[in-house]
Amino acid sequence: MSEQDPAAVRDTISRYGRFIDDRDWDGLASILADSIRFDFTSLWGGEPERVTGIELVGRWRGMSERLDATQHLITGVLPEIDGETATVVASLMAVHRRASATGGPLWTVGGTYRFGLRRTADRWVIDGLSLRVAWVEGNQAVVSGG
Amino acid sequence: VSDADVLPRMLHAIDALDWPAVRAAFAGQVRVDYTSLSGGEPETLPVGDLMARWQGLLPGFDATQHLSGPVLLTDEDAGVRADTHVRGYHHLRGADGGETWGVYGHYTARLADGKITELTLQVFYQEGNFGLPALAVERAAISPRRPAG
Repeated sequence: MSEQDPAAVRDTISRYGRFIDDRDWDGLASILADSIRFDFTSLWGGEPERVTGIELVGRWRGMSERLDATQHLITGVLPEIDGETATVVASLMAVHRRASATGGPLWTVGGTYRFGLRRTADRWVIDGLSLRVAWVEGNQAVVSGG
Repeated sequence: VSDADVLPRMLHAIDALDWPAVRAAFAGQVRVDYTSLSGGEPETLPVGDLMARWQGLLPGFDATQHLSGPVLLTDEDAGVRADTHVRGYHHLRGADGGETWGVYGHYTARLADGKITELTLQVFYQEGNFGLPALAVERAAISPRRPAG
């Protein structure tokens, strides 16, 4: 592990939130691995799955385009680096806003992210992403309804 | 563990009910000051007593989240002072009076050799269901939440 690795890993996690909120989908694709272990079952149900980076960008893009704004506040970022791979635990508060939503404009999710990352030639990319939801507040129809 | 990570690591461990990791963040004796939340006086107690107290409360919630802010480190004569904002969300599904109790404020810790020797919570404000901690204590005794795999 080099001295720069923890900061580089933290940067990738910060960029993940920024790229989604900025709708920078090329940027988001650039920090995702080709294949990602993905587990949002605590929010959406279903089963953990493996998705391609392109697929994940498409999902977030599809959700984002229905919304007026999102804010992903990612804090308490703790990297554990093991050679060419890393895991990160971080806290998330994600606010989703759609002014026209029936039932209120905001839906907020709080929980814990677990990221897996691996080192490539010039950066750390995300190859695992799970969310354990702690609390949800507001109107879920902001993202799912009319 | 770098001094800057001690508080966030301890708070993540609390949310995960990872008691060995919570324990590892503290020195053998801890001065805790939660008077701005619950009144009373600051106290100094063995870390085992502090663990027992938290183990009698936190597993009674369905989930907690301690969202920490930037950690500020200040060198002091006796060690290091670590400061961070915190937003503590405590969730209990179906609770009468509301499912969430929010405690928002600031933690100041003092560290010696990377271990917390003092922990002070300064509450800025609370919101939601103030009766939730009492319900959580009851539930922790009857049907505590298990740590997530």
